[in-house]
Amino acid sequence: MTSEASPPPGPWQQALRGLVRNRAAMISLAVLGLITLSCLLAPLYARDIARTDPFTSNVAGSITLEGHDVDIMQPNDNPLHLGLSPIGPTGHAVYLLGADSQGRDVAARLLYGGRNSLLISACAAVLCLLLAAIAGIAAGFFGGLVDTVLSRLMDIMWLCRFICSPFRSPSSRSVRG
Amino acid sequence: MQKRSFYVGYMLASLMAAACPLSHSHAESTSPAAHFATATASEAHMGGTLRLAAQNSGGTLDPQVSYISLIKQLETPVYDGLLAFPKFYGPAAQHVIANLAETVPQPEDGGRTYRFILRPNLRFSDGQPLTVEDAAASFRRLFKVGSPTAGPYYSHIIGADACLHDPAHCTLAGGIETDAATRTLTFHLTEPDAEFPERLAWFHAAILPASTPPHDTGNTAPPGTGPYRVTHYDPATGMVLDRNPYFQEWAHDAQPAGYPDRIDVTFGLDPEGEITAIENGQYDVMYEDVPLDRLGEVGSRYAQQVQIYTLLLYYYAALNVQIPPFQSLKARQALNYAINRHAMVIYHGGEAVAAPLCQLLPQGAPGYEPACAYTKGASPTHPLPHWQAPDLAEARRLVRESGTAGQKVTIVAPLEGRYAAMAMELRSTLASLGYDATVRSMTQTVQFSYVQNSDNHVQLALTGWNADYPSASSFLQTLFACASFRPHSDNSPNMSAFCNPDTDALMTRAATAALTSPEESAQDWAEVDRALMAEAPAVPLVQIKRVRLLSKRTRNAIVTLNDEILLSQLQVQ
Repeated sequence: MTSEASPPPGPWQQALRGLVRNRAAMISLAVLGLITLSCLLAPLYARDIARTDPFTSNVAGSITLEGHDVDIMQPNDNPLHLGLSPIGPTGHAVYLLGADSQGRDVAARLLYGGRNSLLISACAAVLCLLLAAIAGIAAGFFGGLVDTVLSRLMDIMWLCRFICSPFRSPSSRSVRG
Repeated sequence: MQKRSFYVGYMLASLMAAACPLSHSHAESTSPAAHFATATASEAHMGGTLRLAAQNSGGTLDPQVSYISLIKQLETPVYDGLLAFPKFYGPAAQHVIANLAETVPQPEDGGRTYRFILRPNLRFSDGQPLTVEDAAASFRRLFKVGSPTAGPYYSHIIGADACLHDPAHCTLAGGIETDAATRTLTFHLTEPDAEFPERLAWFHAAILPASTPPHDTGNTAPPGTGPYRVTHYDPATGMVLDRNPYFQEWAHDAQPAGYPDRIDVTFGLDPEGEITAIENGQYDVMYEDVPLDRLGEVGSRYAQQVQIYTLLLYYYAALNVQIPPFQSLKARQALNYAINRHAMVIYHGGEAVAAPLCQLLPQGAPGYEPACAYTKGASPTHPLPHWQAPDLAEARRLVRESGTAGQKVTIVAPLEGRYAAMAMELRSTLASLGYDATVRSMTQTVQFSYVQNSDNHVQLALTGWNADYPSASSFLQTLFACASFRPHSDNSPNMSAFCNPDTDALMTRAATAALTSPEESAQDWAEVDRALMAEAPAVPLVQIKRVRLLSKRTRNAIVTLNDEILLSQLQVQ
């Protein structure tokens, strides 16, 4: 009598299981998710929490902290009273991380800046995947000379990375279509 | 500036300095270092090399052409006029004194004739003797080289009109008489000019050899009479001033002998680099103001090496009244209402070094009467004494009524220093009023000429002005009189291209009144100021003080009304 063995997990399942078991990866994923969510909510934060326009200079502005009006640009404490400095971290929702030299909310600008960084990173990753997929499919479909040329090109690319990187990996890899 | 932008820096300095009998003190040093740095006679140190750092060269060295404050400051110990503004600080420094001339003459013929006697035994730095013919030729050359102040300052000399129309054949016939035997030089004016002595003390009235070519000498400095001569100049790298071997001090208060043997100027450092270099002892003086982000550091760690001095220097936005959108009076008034002058103060380092300005005569200038027409709660007919806050609602209403909303506006601003921040503030303000505003930045030296030339169709020029000498006319007439607008010329200080015959008539009345009643003249100039602001050909922004850092080894910083820090008087240990 033979028992019917359950089918082996597919590659996606294996990858997912590997990922879930990797604690560092899961923590990183959570942090990335948090960052992404925060950045996506940047307009909401600027409008409803910080109540500031992070793109407009506000050197002449003031904010209310614990019932007191506080200038965003604070006079420097020196004998000649020279210069002003932007307000530092307030610990409040308004100007949580302080102001920059233009009197803008650093926290709000950080979130907006994060959106750009994430967008650029995502675009780079997607572009990479697309190009790699096209190259791999072409090499596999046409084989022969195309496969050889693409494979050698990939070898060269990996080689460049190996030579240029200050942290050389112990072994180089090749990619075959 | 600039000159006038830069000059603005310079003008401001000059204005403060240009002494008018009505004016109060101008260059008031507020730094504790002002006294700390002044050495007594027994401590005086002759010799050494004074090292000055500047971001850019100032262009031409021709003293009758240059209108750049850096060049004026560098060439103050190189050239002399018949008269001079005193080279010391204090209330007595407000009035012109004799320099190459033996005395300040009393005007004759109802103010139409001035008779000067040259001091004997004067020589140029190339050894040539200075004669009355050199002096006369220098005034003819003013017109031949197209000096920017030839028209505004010297057009009252008989024959000047012909010179302005045909500079190449300028003779000033009937306007200047010379008598070599008695060393007498006589000026005849078409009409009395209350400010003629101040204008003879102005930098452009430098006396040069009669053989000086009748064109801009560019990178070559003609021989002068002061304690130094320019021995090297490369606009890309630097400039060197060495002692004039033929100089002998004739009037200490007018042109004192210098302390350092050599003044070495390096171009190319930005203000941040200049500050660091001075802190490290690599340079002694910086030309530019201390950058905003270094003010705190300088004020706390180098307070004893700081010089702060008040000047009649302000920054403003010139609005071209001949092209859209500022052809419209309402558009011009709207921008005046909308601009946040408090922000402009902050961009210059706060209230210790700047004050909001909303009129065209700065505080301290003769004729200044506080009147802010464009602030919340005020209007041209009901001005308030001081600026309070922007009035965006009124500004937007005016823009709507002008029908100019949505138009493109290009702000042409210098790259340097705080201009960038001011330009961005202007851009934001224009955007908030519904304009499509952009900033075009260029090197200050280039920008100052560029914005003056009407061929460039500049809509809004961000610039500064430093009076040539302390008088209302140095601001109002020079910047807004019809005669100051010269189409197609790089020397057209009326950057707004503003010309109103009624306002011109008011200016003439104010200038004429100065001959008989300085008080009445001051009131007239205040009226001119208000009349101009009602027309809003410019947006006054901020009046500032200069903040400069000197090296530890530098002593004897003397700040004058007209010349800022006297480089020749700095002592280096």
